[in-house]
This record gives sequence, structure tokens and C-alpha cells, in this order.
Amino acid sequence: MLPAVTDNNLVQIMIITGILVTLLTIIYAWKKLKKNKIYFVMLTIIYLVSFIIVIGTDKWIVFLGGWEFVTLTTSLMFAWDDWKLVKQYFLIQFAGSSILLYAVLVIINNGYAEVGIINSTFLQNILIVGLATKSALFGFHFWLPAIYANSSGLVNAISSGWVVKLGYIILLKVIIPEQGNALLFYAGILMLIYGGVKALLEVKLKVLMAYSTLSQLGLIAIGIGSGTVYGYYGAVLHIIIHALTKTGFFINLDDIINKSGTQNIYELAARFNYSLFKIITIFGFSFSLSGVVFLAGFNSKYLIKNSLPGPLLLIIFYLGGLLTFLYTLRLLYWLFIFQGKQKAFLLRLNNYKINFSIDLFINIPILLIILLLGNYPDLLNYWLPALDSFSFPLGSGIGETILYLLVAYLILEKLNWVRTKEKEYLEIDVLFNKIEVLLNKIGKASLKFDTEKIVEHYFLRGIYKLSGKTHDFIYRSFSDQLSWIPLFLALLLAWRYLV
Amino acid sequence: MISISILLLIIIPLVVAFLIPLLDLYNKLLRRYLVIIGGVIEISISIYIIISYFSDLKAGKFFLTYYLGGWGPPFGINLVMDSVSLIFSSLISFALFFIIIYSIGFIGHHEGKYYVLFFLILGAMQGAILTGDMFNLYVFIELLTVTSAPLVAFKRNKHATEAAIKYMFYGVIGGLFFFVGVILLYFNIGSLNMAQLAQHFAEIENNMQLTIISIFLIGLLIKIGIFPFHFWLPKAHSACPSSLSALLSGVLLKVYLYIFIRLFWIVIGFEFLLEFNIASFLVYLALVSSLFGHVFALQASDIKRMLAFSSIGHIGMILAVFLLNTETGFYGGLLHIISHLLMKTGLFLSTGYLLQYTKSNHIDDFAGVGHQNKGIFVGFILLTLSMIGMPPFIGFFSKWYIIMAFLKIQHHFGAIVVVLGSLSAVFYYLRFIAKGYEKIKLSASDLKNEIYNRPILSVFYREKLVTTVIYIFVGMIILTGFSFRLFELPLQEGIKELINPQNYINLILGG
Repeated sequence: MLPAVTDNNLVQIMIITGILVTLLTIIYAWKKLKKNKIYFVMLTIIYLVSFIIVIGTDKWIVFLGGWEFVTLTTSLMFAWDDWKLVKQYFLIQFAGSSILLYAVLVIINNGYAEVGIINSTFLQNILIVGLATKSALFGFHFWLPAIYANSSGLVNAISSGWVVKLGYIILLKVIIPEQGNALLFYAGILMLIYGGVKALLEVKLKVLMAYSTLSQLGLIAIGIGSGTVYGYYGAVLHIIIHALTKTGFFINLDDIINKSGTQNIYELAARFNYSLFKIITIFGFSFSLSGVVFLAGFNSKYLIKNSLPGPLLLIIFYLGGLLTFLYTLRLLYWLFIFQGKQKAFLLRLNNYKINFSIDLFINIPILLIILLLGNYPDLLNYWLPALDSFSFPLGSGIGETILYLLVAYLILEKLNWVRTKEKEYLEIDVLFNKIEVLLNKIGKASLKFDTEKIVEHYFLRGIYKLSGKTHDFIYRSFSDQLSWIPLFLALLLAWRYLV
Repeated sequence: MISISILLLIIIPLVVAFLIPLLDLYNKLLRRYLVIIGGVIEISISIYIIISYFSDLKAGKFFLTYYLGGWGPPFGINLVMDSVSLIFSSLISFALFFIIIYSIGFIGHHEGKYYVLFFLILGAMQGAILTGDMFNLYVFIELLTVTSAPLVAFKRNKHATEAAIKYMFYGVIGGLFFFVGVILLYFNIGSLNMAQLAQHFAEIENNMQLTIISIFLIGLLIKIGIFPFHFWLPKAHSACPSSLSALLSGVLLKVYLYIFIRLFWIVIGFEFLLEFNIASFLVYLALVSSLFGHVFALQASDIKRMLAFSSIGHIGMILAVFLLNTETGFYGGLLHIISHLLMKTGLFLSTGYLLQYTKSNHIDDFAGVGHQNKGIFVGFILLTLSMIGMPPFIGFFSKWYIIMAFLKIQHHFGAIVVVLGSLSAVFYYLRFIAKGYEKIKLSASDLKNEIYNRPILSVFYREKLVTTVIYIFVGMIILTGFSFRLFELPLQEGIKELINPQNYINLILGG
């Protein structure tokens, strides 16, 4: 049995990862942004400090305060893309904050004055619900693809790479490793499968990545909720690995999208001249996230797999693993191999150009880390004690990887590498569209949707209209308004006979 | 402890108000110096009281009185300052001082009348807070209504006049109810001294107690602007100049809240609200009022009207949390009074500046103001962030304690209303912020309109004064956010007084 990670060690390793990930994004931001880059860097530093405060503090009020700052700073980062995204993201996150505030105060009033282990499952569940929107838990993840689709990879890297993990880091501090939490566990399984399926069918690159994030967050949730120290270790490790690889992934994809001018994965191959190093990097990141042996992702997934209680759940886990391989291979196929003729991939391998800022300062460090952690997990021994005492079975790992790749390849071949149509609207749009169709039957004209319209037209205007109607209902004539006075006096005088 | 300084808090503004017309006869330019001096003296007295009696405050013995004409209770009128009134009185001195400075740069016409009425309001507010006599309190309440109504109509247009009439109408009805309550108290107890009334209220016959409570409640709920008596409030607060909106919404509502607290915790006693089952009813009423305030704010297209509705939302919340009658409730309520005063005053003042040249306060006129006045608009955004409860601003901490107070007694409805309130606040503030950052192209007729709407007198020749005051309020919400614990001592002492009203009676009457 592995010894539990102490609170201090957890905070330390998360802070180190956070600093590393933020540093990578700052490097990319400095290269990418044309104007106001100094403000972006300042904002990122404030965000990082707030993040450190959130995971380091044991005071709930500081925790919430810090988190609001994370929300504010990350919202403002969207301003470099579009102010409307700032508004949308802030609205969603603040709604999440309000639920979280409520949850935290319920927890405090039940005797947990400090951030730390919570023994009551009920209170843990309240916190999980409180964190759900911010951590994109299943059912509350609706904003993730919608926002990612329209924002730049730079902010996506920060959001997907680190911000969205904040909730899971807090859950690591709150949930007892040996007990876990069933709600989180099953939510994780749903996220793993749902995110995987959606990523497999997606055409837009950033939306695909958003669903991939959802699926990977599912893995982390399974690890924390499983109730074993293996799962706990796996979750910690996976948070670190996913943070690094997803940040790198988004930065590279942003570079590709910017240069090719499209997000459609079927069009990217023809439009972008990949360098050999870019190909190696994306392969490395993809395979690490899929859990290919010798890469860091394999270790975390192996630990999480070890934490599963029954054969049924193991089968579901394998299915989730297969889905990860499926969407990863599909992505790689459409990105690098397909170009109308299969030779394209080989042609690409003769471009040896190196992009100094991205390859040298971002890709090589991340690749090195995932390789090192994949082969020498004991490097983290200081923070995750006795990790070295656990032997990761490389033999069966190799077998498993080959099997996964083979099955995935066969399925994808059979499915013609899943060439789906690009959806004009995201699922949230489709849902709203359905509601609109239903409303149309009552007699309104049809309207098409995009995320902007959902927020502006339906959500906000709906709220404003409703409040307007309430206002008109209460604000009647002056005499009506005055009649409240005698009515109320009579009510007060008769009150004790009424109750 | 007897101290004349508390009398000066009332006398100085009244003297300034009467001196202004006299000085105008001699030289109108001197008026501005006089009002600044008046404001400085007022704030200095408050600071003097805090500094010289700080050791008493620390020891929990802070209590100042002054007997008018040397006549002690029950015959004479006495002025009283305890920790609760110290908080309110100092806040008023502070806020009004800055509103005066702002007004010097803001009010471009009829300044003489404006300042006379303004200082009368200041005197009446201090009087209402410091008096220990019920009839005296009634007089100050009426003085507040009579002096603030002309200021509501200050713009002299149809909208302002209509608002002022409505304000006056409701104000007089509220005052009338209060007056009837005072008469009933006097006929039943035979005294008007608050401490004596507090001592003998329990001796009144049961039905009469209920009648008195109900009548006072109606009077004060009208004044505070709680649903269903809030109809006057948005109109009045949006019709007048921004400096006055800040005064009415940011400060005056708190004075009425103070009177409510003084009356129902000290004079009548909260146990009677509990005995007649009115307390819980009032909590729900205040919460519903709060909810309606926020809902109405959502639909308001006039920014000042939106801010006024938001005030209904916040005042309802504060009243509800007080009515929980718990220590955390008092703490959250008092802290939110401080924070709302700073935030709402700042918001109205910044709105006044941002809309300096526009035709109306409509949201369409707000388009592009963020580009024209970058610094102030950032200040406006910070103030709104505090209103919705974002850290590190003080709004976050007061919201925290208010929700905490509701949850401590398992009052989930209250906590949810507060959360929903701040959530809806995000919507209605974001609407205006987004509009403020809109890029606009002015047509020729727009430009013409804008030029015609520029005040004939260059109102903003003292622009620096106006912007400095706004920045001070923005600075205050940040500063107090980081150091809200500075208020800990007076707040805790105030809470002790509210929990143990007998202390007040003993200190006045001895025993």
C-alpha cells in the first residue's frame, strides 16, 4: 500500500506544476501577442499568485477570494480574443462562484472551519456540486466546448491546462483518499466515456480538444473518487501530466490554426506545412494522453486503473481507454497523414525547421518531462512518497499499448477514419435549437443560433423580459400602489390571528 | 459621559445652511469656501470623537450624552451617541464631506439653494441619529423629507417634479404614520424619552403594543423603501442630480435603517416582534423585496433607475439579515451598510460624471462612455465588481457574512436570495459595462444634440475635484476590502448594544 500524500507535498507539487505551466504560456503569449502583451503577462502573474493562494490556504474565505481572482483574471484574458467572450465566460464562472460560495458556507456552518478533509459524504457532495461548473463536471461542462471554440489557444491553454484543474486539486485536499466519493467517481466515468465519444465525432479542432479535456478530467475524477490511495496517486500524477501536455497541445494547435486559418481537422493537413519536430511533439503529447507505455500518461492511467473495484468498471475503463486511442489516432490521421493521398505523411518528414520559441522553450521541456516521468516515476518521490516502490509493469504495458493501437486502427479503418460532417452549431446550440423549434410550433419564426445568440438573445433577453413583465405587473396605477398601505396595516394587525 | 461635540454635529450643518443665504448677499464666491469649511468641521468633529474616546470604545464603555438646556430625562431632550450611532454618524460625516466636494465641481446652477438644502439634510440626518427623544426624531424625519423633496425636483423638468411629488407624498404618509406612533406611545407611557419608552413599553396593553408596532412598521417601511412601499424610490433617486442620488440612495436610506434598528431593538424591543410573530414575516418580506429589487433592476434601461432598484435589493437584504437577530446577522448587516454606502455613493457619483453630456440616463446614452472616460469607467467597473461581491473589495466580505448569518440558522431561502441577488447583479451591471465599451459613430444630429446638451456653464471646469472624489470612493472599497477588520471594534461594540438594549436604558436613566 502506498502511503498517502501529505497536504503540504500536494500543495508544493501543484504549485511547481502551476508555475511551470504558466511560464510556458507566458513564453507563448510574449511571442504571439502583438499589443498589450505586458498587460497579459501581468494578468497571468496575478492569476498565478491567486491560484497559489487558493491551493495553499486553509481559510475558506481566502480560498474563495483567491478563486474569484482567478475567475476575474482568466475572464479578462479572453479580452485579447473578444470582449463578448469575457462577458460570457465571466457570467458562467460567476454563476459557478455563487454556487460554490453557498456550498462553502454550508460546509463552514457544519463545523469545517478550515479547508481540509471533510468526513461527511453529504458535505463532500455539496462541495462537488459547488465546484461542478468551474471544474466542468459532467452536466455542468456545457460552457467548455462553447467557449473554447471561439477563443484562442493561448487562453485555452491556461483554462484547460490549469484553471479547470483547480477544483480537482481542492477535492484532493478534501476527500479522504481511502474513502473516495461515489458521486465524483460515477461523474468521472460518465465524463470519460461521453468526452471520448464526443471527441471522436468532432471536426473542429478546439472543440475536439475541449471534449478530450472533459474525458481526461473524467479520469482524474475517477481517481479521486475511487477511494484507494492508488487512485489518489494516479489523479495527482494525471493532473500534472495533463496540465503540461494539454498546455503544450493547445499552444501548438493555436500556432497551426493561426497559420492555416482553419479549425477543421479535414482541411488542416493540406494547409499546414508541418515540421518534423512539430509532428514528433504532437505525437508525443497525444500518446502520453492516451497512456502509451514509456510516456508519463501510462503511469497515471495505470495507477487509476488499479484503483477500480470490480470487473465491470474495469471493462468500462478499458472502453474509455480505447476511446482515447480512437480519437487520438483519428486526429493524428487527419492532421498528418491524410492529404488526399496516403504518401503525404512521408513527404512531411523532410521539413527540419525548428521554431525556436515554441519548440525550444515549450515543446522540448514538456517532451522531456513526460519522457522522464514515464520512465523514472521516482523523480516525484519527494512529493509522492514511495512511488518508486510501485513497479509499473512495462511488459504488459507494451502489450496493452499494441493491442489498443491495433484495435483502434482496425475500428478506424472500418469506420473510414470517422469522417463526420462539421456541425454548424455546438450541442448546446442544438439543444436551444430544439427548444426553439418547439416554440416555433406555437407560432414564432425560426431563428438560427450561435453561442453569442444563446447568451444574448435567449438567456439575457429572456431574463430581461421576465423582469420587465414582473415590473409591469407590480407597477400599476398610483392609487393601486397606495392601496398597499391600508392593506398592509390591516395585515399586520391581523397577523397574529392569521398565523 | 457628557459631551457637547455631539450637539455640534447637528448644529454646525444647520448654522452653515443658514449662513449660506446671508453670505450670498455679500459675495457668492465665498459660498464654496463656507461649504467646504462646514464639511471639514463636521468630519473633524467625528474624527475628534473617535480619537478622544477611543480608549472608552476599546473598553466597551463608549457612551456620550448631551442634555439640551441642561434638562435631563424625562423632562428634557437628550442627545445620545453609542457605538451604533458612532458608526452611522461618522459614516455620514465622511460620505457627505466627499459629496460636498463632488457637488462643487458638479452642480452648476442654483448652488445656493442646493447647499442650503444639502446642509439641512446633513443636520437632520445627524439629528435623527443622535437624538434620544421620539418627538425630536419625528421632527428630524420630517425635516429630512421636506428638505430632500425640493432637491429631488432640482432639475425642474416634468420627470423630476413628478418624482418629487411622489416622493413627498410617500414621505408625508410615512411621517404621518410615524407621528401617530409617537402620539400613541406618549398617551400610553407619558414620556417621549427613548430610554423611558423602552423601560415601560412592556407595560402597555397587548393590542395597543401591536397597533403601535404596526404603525411604526408601516411608517418606516415606506421610508426604507421596502416592497410594497418602494414605488417612490426609483423615481426619486433617478430624477435628481447624481450627487443627490448618491446622498439619497447611498446615505439617507441607511439613516432610516438606523432609525428602524434604534426603534425596534432599543425602544420597543425585538422580543415584541417575536411575540407577535411579525419578525419572521418581516424577514420574508424584506427578502422578497430584495428579490424584486434585483429583478426590477434587470429590466431598467435607465442606469440611475437600475442603481435605485439595486438599492432596494440591498436594503431588503440588510433589513432581513438584521431581523434574524443574531450576532453574525448584525455583523453582516452593519458591514454591508458600510460597504453599500461606499459602493452606491461611488456608483452614483461616477454615473453622474460618465453621463455628463448625455441627454438622458438611458442605456443607449451609455454607449461608448468607457472609451471617453477610461479611468472613471474602470473605477465604475471596480465599484460594480464590489457590488456583485468580488474580492478583494469590501462587498465580498459583507456578502460573505450575510450569507453566513442566514446559513447559521439554516435559513436557506435567505441565503439563496442573497446569492441570486448578486448573480442577477452581474447581469444588469454587465449590460451597462458592455454598452459602455461599445464603439459608437456619432451622426451629425447626435453631435448637435450632444453640443446642445452641454451645460451652458462649464460644469466641469472643476473636473479634477469630481474625478478625485470618485477615485477616493473606488480606493475606499479596495482599502476597506483589505482591512475590513478595522471596523471590528465599533461593530462588535454596536452588536453588544443591540443584543443587550437594557444597557442603553441604564446609561440614560441610571440603575
